[in-house]
Amino acid sequence: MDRLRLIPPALVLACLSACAPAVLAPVDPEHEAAVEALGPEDPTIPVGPLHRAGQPCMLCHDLGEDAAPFNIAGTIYRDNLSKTPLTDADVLFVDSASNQFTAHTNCAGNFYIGLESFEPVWPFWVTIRQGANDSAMGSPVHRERSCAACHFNPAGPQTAGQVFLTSDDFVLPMIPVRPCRPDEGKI
Amino acid sequence: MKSGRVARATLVPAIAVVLASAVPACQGQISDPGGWGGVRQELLAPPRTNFEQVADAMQPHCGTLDCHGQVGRNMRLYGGRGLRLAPGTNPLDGDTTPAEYDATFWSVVGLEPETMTAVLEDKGANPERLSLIRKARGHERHKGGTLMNMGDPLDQCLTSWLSGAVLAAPCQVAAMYAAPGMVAAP
Repeated sequence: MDRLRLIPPALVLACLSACAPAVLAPVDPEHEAAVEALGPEDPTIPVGPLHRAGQPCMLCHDLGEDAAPFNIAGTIYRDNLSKTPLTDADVLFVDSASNQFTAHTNCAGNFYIGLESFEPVWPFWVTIRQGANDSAMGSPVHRERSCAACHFNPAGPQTAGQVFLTSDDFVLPMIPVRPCRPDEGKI
Repeated sequence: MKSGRVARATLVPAIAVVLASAVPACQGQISDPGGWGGVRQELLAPPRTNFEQVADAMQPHCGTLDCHGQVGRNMRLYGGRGLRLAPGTNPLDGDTTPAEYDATFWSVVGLEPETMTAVLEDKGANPERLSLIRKARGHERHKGGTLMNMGDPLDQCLTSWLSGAVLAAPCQVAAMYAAPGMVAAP
């Protein structure tokens, strides 16, 4: 009899505990769908600085997400047609308050700026540089923290395509490419 | 297109379509469904002449791909280095085309046609009646933040357009928006 009396409160508690996560951290279905659309990890690339090249990093690396939070992140390719990463390049930021910051691409072409490193005064402007070659983005960035949110393939009316250094066939052979070292990609 | 009064045949049917499409969503809220007296019979638009200068000024401030250079926006700005109008083109494909200037013009003019008319009837006085100005000045919630203060080149450009005569110099300055210490490419 006593056990029967305990069942209703126990059910209420069970329901509350089941609902609490949804109440405390409401699910954004649009965000969930966007993350789902990224697909699974490439099993040949360890989760870390080299993974998910070309994807909108901030979907998972924004504040409040499970992954380490970044302020700005993206992937840069050597040219507009291939998936050859632009390695060891400088990504120069100048914001509207004249603050400057330089990030660097790794062997996957990825770069990321941690929360403590640089928070721009919006908008900001970006230039890519590797050796003697550079390319400045034609417009300022006003809101977006993931390069790939605006730069995705194929290029079309709504996007210029992936971020790249050059489309000049004369310049391309002069841009060095290197494979990842064994020690790269460690978290 | 000539500046000034826009033919009823152009704007009134467009507004009627918009209002008609909104009716199902508003059912139950309209106390007098037959009372369409609030719809103006004539609407005004700012000059299309020289709007290119205004659009070029807005492009780097408002029309980037992460802001109003998106097809999902009410105020949808087209142009070089931003959203393109023609299929098969992309932001890197050269300067803003005449068709893109037209599309941007109608997008901006059609945002609040009745309020726009009221502002134009007053020769551009109190332009903050328009959300275009309020949002850009940061006086109304705006994801893009404050883009201009009163008297800034972009502000002068927009408000001069609303007053009927585009001021070329501030528009040109606003169009050359570049990183501090840098000069924008023409």
